[in-house]
Amino acid sequence: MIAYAVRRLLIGIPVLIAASIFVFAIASFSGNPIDDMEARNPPVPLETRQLEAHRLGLDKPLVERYVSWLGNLVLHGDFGQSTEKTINIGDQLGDRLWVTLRLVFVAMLLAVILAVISGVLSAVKQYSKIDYGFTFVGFLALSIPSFWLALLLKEAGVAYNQSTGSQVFYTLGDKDYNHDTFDTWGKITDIAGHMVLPTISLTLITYAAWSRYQRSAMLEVLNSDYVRLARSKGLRRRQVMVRHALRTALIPLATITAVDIGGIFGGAVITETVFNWSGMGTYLLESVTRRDVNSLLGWLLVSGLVVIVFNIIADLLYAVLDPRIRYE
Amino acid sequence: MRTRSKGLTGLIAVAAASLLTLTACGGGSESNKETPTSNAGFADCEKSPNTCNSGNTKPGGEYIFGLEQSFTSWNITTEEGNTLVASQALSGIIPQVFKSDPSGELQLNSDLLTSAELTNQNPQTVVYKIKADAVWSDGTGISAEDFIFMWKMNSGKKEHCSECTPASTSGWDLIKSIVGSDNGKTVTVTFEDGKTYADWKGLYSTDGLYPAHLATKQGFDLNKPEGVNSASNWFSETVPTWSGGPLLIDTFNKDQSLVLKKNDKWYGKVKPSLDKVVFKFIIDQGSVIPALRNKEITGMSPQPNAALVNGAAETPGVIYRIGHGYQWEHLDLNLKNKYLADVALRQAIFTAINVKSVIDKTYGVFDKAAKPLGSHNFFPGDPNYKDVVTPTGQGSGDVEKAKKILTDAGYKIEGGKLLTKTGEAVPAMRFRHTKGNQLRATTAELVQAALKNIGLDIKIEVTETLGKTLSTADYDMIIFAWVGSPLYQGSAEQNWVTGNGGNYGSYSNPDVDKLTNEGARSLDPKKAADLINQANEIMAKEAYVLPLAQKPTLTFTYSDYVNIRDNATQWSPTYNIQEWGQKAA
Repeated sequence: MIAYAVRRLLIGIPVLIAASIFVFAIASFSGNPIDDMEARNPPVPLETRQLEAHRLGLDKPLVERYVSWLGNLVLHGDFGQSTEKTINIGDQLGDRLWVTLRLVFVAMLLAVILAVISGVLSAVKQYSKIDYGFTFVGFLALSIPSFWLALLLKEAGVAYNQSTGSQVFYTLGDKDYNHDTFDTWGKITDIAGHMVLPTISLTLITYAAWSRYQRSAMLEVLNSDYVRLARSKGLRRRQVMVRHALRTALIPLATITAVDIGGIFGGAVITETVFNWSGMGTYLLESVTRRDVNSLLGWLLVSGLVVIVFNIIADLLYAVLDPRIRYE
Repeated sequence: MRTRSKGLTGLIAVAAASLLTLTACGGGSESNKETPTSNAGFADCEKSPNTCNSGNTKPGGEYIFGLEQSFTSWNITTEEGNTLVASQALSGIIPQVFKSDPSGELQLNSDLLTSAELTNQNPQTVVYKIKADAVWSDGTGISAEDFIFMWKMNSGKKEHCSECTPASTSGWDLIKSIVGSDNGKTVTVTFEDGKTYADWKGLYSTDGLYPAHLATKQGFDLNKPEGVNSASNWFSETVPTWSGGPLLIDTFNKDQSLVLKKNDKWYGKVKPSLDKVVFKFIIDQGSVIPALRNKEITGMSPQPNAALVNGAAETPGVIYRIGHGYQWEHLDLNLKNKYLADVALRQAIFTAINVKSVIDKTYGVFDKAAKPLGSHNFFPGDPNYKDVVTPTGQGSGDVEKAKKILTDAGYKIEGGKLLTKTGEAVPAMRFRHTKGNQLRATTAELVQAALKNIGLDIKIEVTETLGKTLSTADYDMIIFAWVGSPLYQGSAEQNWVTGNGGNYGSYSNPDVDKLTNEGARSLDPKKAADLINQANEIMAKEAYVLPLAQKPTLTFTYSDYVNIRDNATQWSPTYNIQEWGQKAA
């Protein structure tokens, strides 16, 4: 299994390199950061612009710039120079990835739990009020734009705080500026208070689609011969559902979850922006705004790596869920 | 402890808020037009911009001021660090020689200096006298060494700094020498012979002073260009533990917040009353009003839009004001276009555009006081302001007059098409505006409709790279904004003189060049303004740039805090940060 995982990781490398060439070319052709300095009032001095262009390697041919970037990354783990001289891209990515993963991980976990519960109940109680109820909520969550849902949640959080005179929910950032001065319980409640609204927002938009997948997967399994056989052999309904049907029905969800991880990273751009979290999403936006090619490439590599790793985890999960699957 | 009834109330409130949001998002509202430009607390800012919302403060408390973006460099002299937000966040830390008050008057920082005077015209000489008790937060006196260090970082000269990247070298590059005397407390700055820098009050004022002794303590040799470069980089990268102002950095949470506390060594008259001033970085404008209502911020001065103005106006306990700043929007023509090289066509274009109507449909939606700007250098309220545009008829939207200008010059309009004297059809003009700017997009559409009346087709194109579009003059018409300042002389020279950096559309008139150059170099402010206004009159008649309006500013704060007020200059509302405080009972 380990050999399989390593092999999958290695296969991911050429994919990442191809993606990086594509992003590098697109970002480079879309303009360079020095141009914007000329529109300032007064314009940034020519000498400054030349020094900056040299620092960023913009005075070199495109291919040479890319090769130099890749070489430094492979040999020294150096992501290159940001357009903001004081930014260390590697450090930034580390900080931002932790913020986003914290949000995405909790949201995904909750979304999976919700999707499994609602999907299974909907399938088992097909065409019942429960099924219609979950279907309605699922489609509602699917159809609400994520930014709007986030705004609604913020309004609701603020209204709750105002009406109760308390400060339970926060709408800005991932922690209070006085966080370090709080005791342990204070730190926990502070983090939780800042996480609640963005996590609900990301969970709801993610869970909705997954619950539909889970419902149809469960329905398919429930109508399969082996489930009917198990029931006819006299196994208890609960045992059939949990040990036989659900386990098999989780395989499509594992696939979808892994595939969607890239999308959730993308969805987090909106959630992070609306809730003012400094994660990978806002990092991407800032990099694009600054025309910061190296920062963009750093984002791509890290996000790509996360997608690859989650795909491998999903593959490995198949074996856990379905004992017939073996990796060589 | 939360009670059951409170919880229930909370849930009802949540439901009501959600419904309200749904309702608000669902339909248009006329409330925008009803929103006044300020409310109680800021109501007297129009008449008394420097003293409105004044009051005595009581000790203690925290004030949380929102900033529209974060920043990455702590050295505001550099190209990277020279941002408005960094200047605002560091205004309580970096000592500055002059600051503009809200009325646009440059005031000497009398906490730092006893005087800053122009003592000689040629060579231009300025003498700064630093107060004896003006010290950095480690007790070291602020001295001539700090002035010299700033010069070396900004001059752009390789013999001063090997690889410094100053945001601007204006004025610094004309300095010949800086000499300290009187134990470093008197600083004499002498400019090159025959060279003058009229905006000399901007030196050490738009940026400020950095502590040279700390650079030396770090081992940087400030007598060597490499040493100055290393020191500049060190100040860029290192979160300041030092201060020469009323506040000192307590904590910095990257991309989230900057917390300032009192500087015990602050030497100024007014001691800060607040325990902490917090700057929170809010990149999403939509987050501002919920954060204000949730008291996660207590005040801010963001780029205004209708939602922000209405949100601030409707938040209980909040006072707000829409001011008019030093940024002004304008339409520029590219005179390299052979058709636009003809002054008659340019005059007709500007005459056919109704600026008042453009304003009503853009800024006027939330700023009732927005009105057409009549000068390219000064703003209403400034004694030097002279409306040079209205007398030309430009911006009036008078289509008949525009047509007459054209027909008098030999043009014809046939079948809705504009034809030149030779019968050639004037091709469509490319009107460019920055992508994503809705107000500019609306302006473009209004201009397009207006010019259709004189047979001129406009092709609207967006640009994602305004800098490149301007520097390569890749447009026929373009809308963008200049950031003006109470220091106007340098800008005038930069923007209107033949071949200069800001003159993107290649306007050239020897009389304008002569008057503007003379005005820009004059050390007599009144004479300078007069010369620049004369040049402006000539340029306005030749229809090169049509001023539209000053961009509005918005400042709001909870009313239980005093001495916080709008300041539309680059010194912003943080200009008097040490005076901010909780209102005394």
